Amino acid sequence: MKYNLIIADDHKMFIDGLLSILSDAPEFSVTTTAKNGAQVIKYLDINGTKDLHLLITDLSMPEMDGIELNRIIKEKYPTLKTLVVSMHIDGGMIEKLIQNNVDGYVPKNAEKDELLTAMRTIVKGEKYFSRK
Amino acid sequence: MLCFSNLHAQEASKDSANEDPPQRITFSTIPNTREDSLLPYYEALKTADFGSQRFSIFEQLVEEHIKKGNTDSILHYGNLYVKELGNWEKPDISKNLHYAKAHYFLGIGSHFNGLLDKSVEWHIKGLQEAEAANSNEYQFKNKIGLAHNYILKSESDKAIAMLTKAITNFGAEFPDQTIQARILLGNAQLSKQAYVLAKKEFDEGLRMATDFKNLEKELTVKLEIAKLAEAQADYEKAFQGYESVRNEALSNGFIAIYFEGSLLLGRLYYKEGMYETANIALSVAYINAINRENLQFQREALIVQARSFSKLEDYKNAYAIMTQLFGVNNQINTKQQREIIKELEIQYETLQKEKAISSLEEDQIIKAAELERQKTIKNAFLIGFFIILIPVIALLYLYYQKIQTQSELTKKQEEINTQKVTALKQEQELNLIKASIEGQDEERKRIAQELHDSIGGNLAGIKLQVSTMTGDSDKWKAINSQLDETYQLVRDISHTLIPKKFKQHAFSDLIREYIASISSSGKIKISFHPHPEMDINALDEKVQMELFKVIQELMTNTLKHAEASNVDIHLSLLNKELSLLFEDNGQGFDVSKIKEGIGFENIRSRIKELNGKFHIDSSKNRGCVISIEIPITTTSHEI
Repeated sequence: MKYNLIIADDHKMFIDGLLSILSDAPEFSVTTTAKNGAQVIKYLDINGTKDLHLLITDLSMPEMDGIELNRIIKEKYPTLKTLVVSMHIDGGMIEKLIQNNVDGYVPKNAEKDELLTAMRTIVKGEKYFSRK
Repeated sequence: MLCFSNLHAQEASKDSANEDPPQRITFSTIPNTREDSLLPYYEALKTADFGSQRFSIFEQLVEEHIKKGNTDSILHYGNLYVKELGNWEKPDISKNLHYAKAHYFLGIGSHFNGLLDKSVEWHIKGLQEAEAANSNEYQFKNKIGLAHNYILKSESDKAIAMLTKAITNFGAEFPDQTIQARILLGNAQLSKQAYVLAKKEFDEGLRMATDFKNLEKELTVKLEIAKLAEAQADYEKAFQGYESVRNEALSNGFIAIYFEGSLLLGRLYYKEGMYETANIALSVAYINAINRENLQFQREALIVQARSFSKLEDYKNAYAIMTQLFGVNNQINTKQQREIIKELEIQYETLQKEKAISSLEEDQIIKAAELERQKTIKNAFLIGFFIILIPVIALLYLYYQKIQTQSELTKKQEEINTQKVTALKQEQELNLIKASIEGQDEERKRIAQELHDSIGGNLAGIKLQVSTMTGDSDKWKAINSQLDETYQLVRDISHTLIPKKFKQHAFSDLIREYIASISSSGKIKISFHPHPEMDINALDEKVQMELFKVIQELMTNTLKHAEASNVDIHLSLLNKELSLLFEDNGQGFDVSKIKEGIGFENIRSRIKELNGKFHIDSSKNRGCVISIEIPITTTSHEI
């Protein structure tokens, strides 16, 4: 089974990095990428969450940040899983994300294997929070 | 007149030569010059003071004149006495005795002048005044004078009754007057032809006169006894009595007695038909009477002389004498009239004087009233002036106070203004610093964020790409680990750059930092004790901000005024109540005297907004403790 992904990050270089490691994981295919949360919401509003399984998002983005994006998605499209990949490892922020039913969290400097493990765990329906 | 008398004198000498009388009788005029005996009185009168001293001289002078029968002098001094009494400034009561005396003198004078009614009038006046003055002497004297007049007016019974009573009342006290009274009593009895009774009175008088050695009275009594003898037709005895008394009186200076003796002698000669001799005696008596101006004697002498001439059938001389008599009578009448006129004049003058006095008094009263009025006006002016002055002073005082309070007010206002200005300046500075810090923070925050997000994110992306190539070579592995290191470096740099707020620094740390910046000077040691720190850091941001500002304000106050070396700040949250305890060990102040400046006012208003309580406890040299309590209803868990 193929899992369709949607990636939101305002840094092109990180998206490229993600795409490069996904070539080693053929069960994942990237449906679309967005530069901020607002673009993601716009896409979902138009296309719905059909055939979409996982959203990988940064926290600090212009227009709409990852926290807000996660909150809206969990409200409007609860079937879509969310994985936050961020530089911030602040306890308070993570707490806020958990309150909004985030499915997983991984720091940005995580290794390739950890990222993939997180993605696989979440799409299976479990939660993944990095130990760091 | 002188010629006439000389003629008579010649006649008399002829007569005496022809008739060869049994006794040699001499007639002569008595020189009527100013007697030397009276000289001292006149001298005394010149120098005497007005009043009692002069009056006593009058009295003595008149007594002398009475003895000598100088009618005009008696009346003159009597009148002068009355006149001066009128001008004497003494109460009427003290004047009574003097009036009694003066009127007595006037009575005697009038009697000598033959003005019997006038004399009675004066004596009655004198008697009343003597009674009023309680003077026994002058009551007696006036009564005697009155009785004398009554006798002459043929009211003998009246005279007898009066004299008898007077003698019993005053007899013992005044022997001289008693002798006189006895004589008069005798006279009265004589006129009633009660010869035995008269003789008795005369004998009594004579006895007293000799006893008291009063020659005048003795002679008078003797004369009276001679009269009695004449009345009893014992002419020889009478003649002898008259003659001896007359001569003795002349030699002793009792002129009045001498006159009377002469007159009686003349009459006796007439009675015995010795008209020529009578005429001579009477002429001399008449001349002497003229010299003494005694009209009574003149009249009596002339009456007898006229009769004598008519008996001699010398009608020419009788006519002449009658003419003289008529003239004398006329003189008496005119005198009487003059007296009346004088009296009227005096009355008029007194009235005039009284009028003048009353007008003067009126003037005085008017003047007094005017003075009183002026006084009242002056007083009114004075009182009015004071009444106006008092509010003026009060107003001035109020004005002065107002000016003072105004100046004080302006001073205070200036002080407040300067305080405000400094406070504003401080606030401005604070704001400036805050703004610059905020700007700096903002900048640092932006740089940190950029570093963290962009460079960190890019590094993460590069790392992921590199990690897919690790299988190819060990070199990539090394690059991967270098990337990891760089990433960590960027994170660290950004974290150190990021301001506290960004890092969500705790409130307690903020205060600590503030304290550290102040105590860095080293002059003051500040300790901060928050408890429990967690809860305090979780306070509402607004409360934290206000608290921070309050602490700043308190710190400023302490630094400015207290000269403290140690400050303790306790911040505790217990049972939903935040309490701030700010202590310093500075010089302190008197809480009741402190003028709450802008600093305290600011703190108060801030705390009021938070529904808190503010309390200052301080005293001189005992430092200062400020406690603030704020109720906390909500705590923010938002970070």
